[in-house]
Amino acid sequence: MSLVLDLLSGLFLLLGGFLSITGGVGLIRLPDFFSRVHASGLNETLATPLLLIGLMLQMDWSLDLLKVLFIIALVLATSPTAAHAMAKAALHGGLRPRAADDTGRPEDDPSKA
Amino acid sequence: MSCAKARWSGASAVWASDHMLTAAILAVLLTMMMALARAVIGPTEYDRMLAANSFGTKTVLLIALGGHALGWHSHLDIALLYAMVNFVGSIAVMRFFEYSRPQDETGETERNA
Amino acid sequence: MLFGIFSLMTAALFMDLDAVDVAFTEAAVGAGVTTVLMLSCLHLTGRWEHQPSHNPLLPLIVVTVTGAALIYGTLDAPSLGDPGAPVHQHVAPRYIQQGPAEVGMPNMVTAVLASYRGYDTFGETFVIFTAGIAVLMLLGIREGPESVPGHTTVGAQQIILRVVVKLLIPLILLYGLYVQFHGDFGAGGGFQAGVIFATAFVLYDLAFGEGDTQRVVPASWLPRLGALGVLVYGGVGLASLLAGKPFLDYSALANDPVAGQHLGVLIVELGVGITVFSIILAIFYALSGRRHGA
Repeated sequence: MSLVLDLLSGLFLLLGGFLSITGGVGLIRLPDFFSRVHASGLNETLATPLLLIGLMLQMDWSLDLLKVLFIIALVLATSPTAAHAMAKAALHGGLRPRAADDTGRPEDDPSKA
Repeated sequence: MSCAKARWSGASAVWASDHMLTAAILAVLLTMMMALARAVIGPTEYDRMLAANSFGTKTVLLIALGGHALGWHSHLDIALLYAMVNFVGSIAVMRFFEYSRPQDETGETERNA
Repeated sequence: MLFGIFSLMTAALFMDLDAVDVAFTEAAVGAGVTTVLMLSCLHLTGRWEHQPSHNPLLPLIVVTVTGAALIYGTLDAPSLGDPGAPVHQHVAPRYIQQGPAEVGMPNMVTAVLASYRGYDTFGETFVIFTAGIAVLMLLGIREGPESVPGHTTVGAQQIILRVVVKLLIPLILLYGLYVQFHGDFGAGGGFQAGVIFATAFVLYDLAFGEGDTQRVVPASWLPRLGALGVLVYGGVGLASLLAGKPFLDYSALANDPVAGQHLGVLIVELGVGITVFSIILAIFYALSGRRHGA
């Protein structure tokens, strides 16, 4: 039984770590704010529960297990909301998503000429 | 014969999951550095906000995973607290952002129907 | 927000030094409350500094010399964890050895904070209260048109945020209660719990606007709640006096001294929590209420 748990834990940790790095790379490499919000928000919303489930599988039965579950629930609820709110604020502030031929900056926006 | 094999793979599974934990912590640290890079580079303020929020979520993971690995006490309480605080901070930055835009002062007052 | 990151790194440092309670408070206050309050101030004062009107070279020299002198002074200090250091000699061994017997609490930090050094903590609570009064005297809480129920300046389009916030706030408050009463056993106590309570209401304010928040916690309650917390703390001390023991000697509160200590610490932490919560919320109200047309 503990063999299965250890293997599963390792698997979850691996997946979570990989997703986390992917999110980070997306944060750096993507060209536009909105695509970055998308990348970072989604990735960290999934990577966090995966990593924490991997952690849970390594812990004994105790109150700490429940606390990790609470952290997972909290992150699942707040991370997408924060990403949504940030994108909305940027949209309100005049930032526009970048189409294929424009730079996404408000002053370059052809519709505001 | 099968007992020996099970014991061997059990030991290697524990080895694997311990090292997985270290690998996961390293992955989270890497992502944090990437988020910091974006916070420094990011052309708009929204990028910096996004990076700071991402950094916060990764910090929650770091405290939870690292605390378990290093044997800290009550680290999960702090992780839970910081997940909350990160969310409130992100929302606060955006609220205050929206109100600092000059064009919003006239148009933002909406009444609940 | 980068200050929040710095604060969090400091908290992690404290954790590494095995000072969990301090790390907790640092994370809550530094990364949470200070970020929000600093943002309110920044919003009021504008984002860029004026150009300095004098040459900054002289202040730079003064600061460098002072900093160097301070660092030179710390070179002589005993290294971390040195058992011969003065801080480990006089009172600390007594607290550590006799704490469990006299106070009976697993969390030694709370035992020292609330019982052995209860008078200092009383002073701290008073300092928080005074800071709140100072801010209220200087800024005041506006009861302007924003306080009219139903009129909020936050767009009604923020549906997702509002729903999530409505779901989260009871849980945050519950967590605050847990931290308050769990301070005897793990990390926690009055200060952290007060900050968590205040954070819940700040979150509500950020999502729903000043008007609705002032309906839930009217601004006029806050100075009174702050005073109430300090009074509770002082009242416990007074009760000890009336029972014939020194001020804030909790063993006078019950027949069994250890039970008296437990009761005393509980009530005292409650007082601290109430004061911290109300003052942080008052400062937040004062700063954010001026946002609209000060």
